[in-house]
Amino acid sequence: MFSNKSPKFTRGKSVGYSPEYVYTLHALTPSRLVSSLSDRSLRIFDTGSGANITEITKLSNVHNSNTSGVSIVDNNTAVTAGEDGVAKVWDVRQNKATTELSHSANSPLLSIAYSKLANTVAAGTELVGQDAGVVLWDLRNPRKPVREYIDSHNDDVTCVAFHPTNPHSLLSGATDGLVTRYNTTISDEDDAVMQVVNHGASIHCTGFFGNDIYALSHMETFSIYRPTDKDDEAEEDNPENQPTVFGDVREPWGCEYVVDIGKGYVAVGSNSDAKLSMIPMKGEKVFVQHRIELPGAHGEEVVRCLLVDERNSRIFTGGEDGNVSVWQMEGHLGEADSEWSEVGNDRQKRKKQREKRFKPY
Amino acid sequence: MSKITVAGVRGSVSELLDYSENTKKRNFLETVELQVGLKNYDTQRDKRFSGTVKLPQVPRPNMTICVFGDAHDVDRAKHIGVDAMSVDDLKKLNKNKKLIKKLAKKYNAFIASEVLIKQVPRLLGPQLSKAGKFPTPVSHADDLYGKITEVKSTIKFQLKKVLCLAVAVGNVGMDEDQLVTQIMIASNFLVSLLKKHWQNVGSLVIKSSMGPSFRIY
Repeated sequence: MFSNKSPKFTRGKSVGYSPEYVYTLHALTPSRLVSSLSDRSLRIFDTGSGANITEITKLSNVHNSNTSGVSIVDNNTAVTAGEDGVAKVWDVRQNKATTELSHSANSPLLSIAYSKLANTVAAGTELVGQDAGVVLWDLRNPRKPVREYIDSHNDDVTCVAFHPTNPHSLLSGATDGLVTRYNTTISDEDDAVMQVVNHGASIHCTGFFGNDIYALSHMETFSIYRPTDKDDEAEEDNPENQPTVFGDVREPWGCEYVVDIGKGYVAVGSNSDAKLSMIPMKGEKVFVQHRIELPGAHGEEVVRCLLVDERNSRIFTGGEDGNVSVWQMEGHLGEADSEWSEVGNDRQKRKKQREKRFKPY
Repeated sequence: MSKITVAGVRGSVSELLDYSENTKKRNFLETVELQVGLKNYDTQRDKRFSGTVKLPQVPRPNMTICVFGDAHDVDRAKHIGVDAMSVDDLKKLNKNKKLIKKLAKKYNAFIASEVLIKQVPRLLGPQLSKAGKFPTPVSHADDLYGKITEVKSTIKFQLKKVLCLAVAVGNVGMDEDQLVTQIMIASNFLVSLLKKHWQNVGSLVIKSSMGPSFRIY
C-alpha cells in the first residue's frame, strides 16, 4: 500500500489526564476503547468512526496497586493484571469486576494475556524470593490457577503472549533476558518448557510472528527467533534456524525508543525532538522509508501505547503526558486505487468518498 | 552532547587508582564500579531501565565459563583451555537436580553450541534459567574465543525500585586509559537509554570495592 507515498496523519481530538500516565490502549470494539492509567483507573472511551474520542466511563481503584496490563476478552469484557497480586475480569456494561483471579504466592502480576481459544488468562509475576514465572487461569473455573510455572525465570516476567492459533503455546519474557515457550497442556514444568531463547537483554515484549518468536529488549535490541524442537538431535547448524538479529534498532529505525511491536508495523518515538512514528513491517523487513509520522507526538514525553484502527484509518496513542490522542489519516480524494476491494452495495457511496483504506502493509 | 569529558574522568580515575595502588592496597583485585544516581525518574510509573552493556575490556577477569559443545566446539574449547561438556556429559547428569544445581554454581556463565542449545530444556530442565545462567549460543561460524570474551565483557544493569544503580566497569589492575574508556562508554550508553538523557542523571560516581567514591558528574 505504500507504493508511492506514506499516508499523512493529523491529530484529531485528545483527552487529557495529566499528571497521570496513560499505560495501555485496547479496543473492545472498533468504536469502544479501554485504557489503563497510572491513577489505578480504567477509562472507557467512545470513539465513533472519525477523529473523536470521548470518555464515557471511569472505573476507579481497579487494583490496590499499579495496573500492569490489560487484555481484551470480548466486546464487553477486559481482564487486568495488578501489582497487588490479582487479576480481575471486568464487565464494562455492569462497570464492575465479575471475577477475581488470585494465586497462592500472591506476587505482583506484571503482564497479562488472554487466549480466546482456551478461554485462559496468563499473567507474568514479579520476582519474589527465588520465584518468578507465569500463572494461568481457566475462566470456566477461575477459583484456582490451572498452571503455575515458577522455575523458568530468574527475574520479573514482563511479557506473556499466546500463540495466535495454538491455544496451548505460550511465551513468557523476563528481565533476565530469556523468552520461554511452554506447552501449557503439560503441568510438570520440566516437560512443559519446549524452548528457551536467550535474547541477552531484559525483555520489553515478546510474541509470535506465525511460529517465529520475536523479542524486543528494554535497550531496544530486536530479534526474531525460529521455533526449535528440544528432541532434535541434529548435529549440523541448520541455516534455517538462524535468528534474524536486528540489534540495537535506534539508529536504523531512526528513533530513541520503541513504543511497541504490532501486527505489520513497529511504533517508535524520540523524546528529544517530539517525534512518533509507525513503520510498516512485512515479513522481516522494516520499511523505514515509508514511516508514518504522527506530528507533535506527545510532546517530549514517552508514548506508552499505540493502537491501530484499520477500518476507520485511525491511530490512537497514549503517553506519559497524560493524553489519549486520535490521529486520522488524510483522505486521498480522486486517486484510483485498484489494490483494495470494495464489498457490497456501498460501492457507489465509497466511490464518491474515495478514501484510501489504511493498511499497514 | 555528553556531560562528562575524558579529561574530567581521567582526573578521578587517576585518584581512584592512586588510592587503591598506594594509599590502601588490598590483597585482592578490586572491582571498579560506576554508580548512577537518577533524578526526574519515577520508579513506579516509568518504563524499565534494564539491559546489558558490552565493554572493550573484561571488567572482572576471574569469570568462569563452561561450554556445552558438540564435538567441534568441545574441541575448540579445550584448545583455548576452557571447560567443556558434551551432549553425553550432559546426559550423564540424568537430569539430577542436585547435580545440575552444582553445575550451575560452579560456573559464572555458560555458552552452548547453537545446535545443542535447543536440547538444553530436555537435557537439563529449567534449572539454569532459574539460576540466571541459561547459556548464550555460539555458532560454528562464530569465533569461540571471541564469544567467551564477549560474555565476560558484558555487564548487566537494572534499576529496581530505587533511584540508583551500579555497574562493574573495570578493576584496579587496568591502566588509566582503559578505565577512562570503559567509564565513558558505560556512562554514555546508559544515558542514551534514559528518556531525558542527562536530565535524568543526578550524579555519576566511580568507586573501587574498598575505596572512597569519586564523583565524575
